[in-house]
Amino acid sequence: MKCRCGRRAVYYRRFEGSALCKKCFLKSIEKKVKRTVRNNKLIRPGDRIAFALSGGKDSSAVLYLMHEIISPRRDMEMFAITIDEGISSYRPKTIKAAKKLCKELGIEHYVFSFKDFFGKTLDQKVKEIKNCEIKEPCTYCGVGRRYVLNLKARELGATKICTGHNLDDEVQSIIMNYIRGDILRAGRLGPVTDFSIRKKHGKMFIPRIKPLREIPEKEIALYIMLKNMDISWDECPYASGIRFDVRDFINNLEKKYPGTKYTILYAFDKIVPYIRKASVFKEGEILKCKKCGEPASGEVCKACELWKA
Amino acid sequence: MIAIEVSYRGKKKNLKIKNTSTIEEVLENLGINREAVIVSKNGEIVPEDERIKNGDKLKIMDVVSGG
Repeated sequence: MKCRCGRRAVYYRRFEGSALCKKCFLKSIEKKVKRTVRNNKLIRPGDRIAFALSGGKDSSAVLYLMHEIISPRRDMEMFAITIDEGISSYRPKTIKAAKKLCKELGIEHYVFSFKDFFGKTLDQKVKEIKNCEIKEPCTYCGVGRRYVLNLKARELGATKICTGHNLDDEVQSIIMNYIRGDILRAGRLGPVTDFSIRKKHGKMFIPRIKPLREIPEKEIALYIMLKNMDISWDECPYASGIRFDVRDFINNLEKKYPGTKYTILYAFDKIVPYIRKASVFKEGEILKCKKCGEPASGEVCKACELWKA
Repeated sequence: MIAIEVSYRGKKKNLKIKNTSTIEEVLENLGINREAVIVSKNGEIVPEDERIKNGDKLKIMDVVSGG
């Protein structure tokens, strides 16, 4: 199979019927990220962007790709934050990869741990939650990570947080929210986190941007492999839950009907403005956790409810 | 029929398959969805539509990682 340039193809982009060589594939990914950034105005002069860096393929890819865009500019800054949840069989290796990448790119890197914030690691928490109503480690991990990331990014002067969420992540979240009947929550999805959240929480909440949102997970993995980037390929030992069923379901559809992931995303993006209009908050109403003062949806934030109770 | 070697998740396996098979057909034979993996043939990453021949060594790599 040959690329249109004549070189040997490494990848066949099925939904558009194009075979790509290494050079053309890498260029197509870089072009797509630039287009997502430009079309959604993800960054602007004066931004100081905190990159949520786990050391895995997606966060490493977005750091690398955005570094190419941001580093030549004097009107923007970037740094990386890694959250150590305390998963002893998994996280140390990924932190090592994250540190290495930041050193190679010359990017400031901060590591913050659950142990310091909540007094316990996720490994310790998982032993306790067997008797709780919420039993999925991912719930505790996700809430904790977002809490620490938002707080520390804000303290470090970030105007935005950049995550490595890819097309598969977004489509899975869209479907998961629909399955759970949580349509209003789905309004938070998008290339930039819903600003109505910012309206609700004011400057306490740092907006999140997702430059890889339109790139399939498989293409991110291929980008990393072709660039010979030394990242961690391990899967979290606690990874479980409905997301995995949804992932398999979506992948089966994509295999049979190439382009399904894109059509789900683009259709969803058309209805998001209507969902957001339905999430109306009173001007000036800022919701703060009674316990810690951080953004909350109720009287107490999820992090305090799940980690500090 | 032809014989190939397949590596997946640290395990190696020798398979006998039709000599007109593509990599995708091998994946289907193993119950693996092409959307979830990247495959190298004799050390080079290739599209799943590529045909294989006797003695080829395939390495199947998961794309799903992280948490």
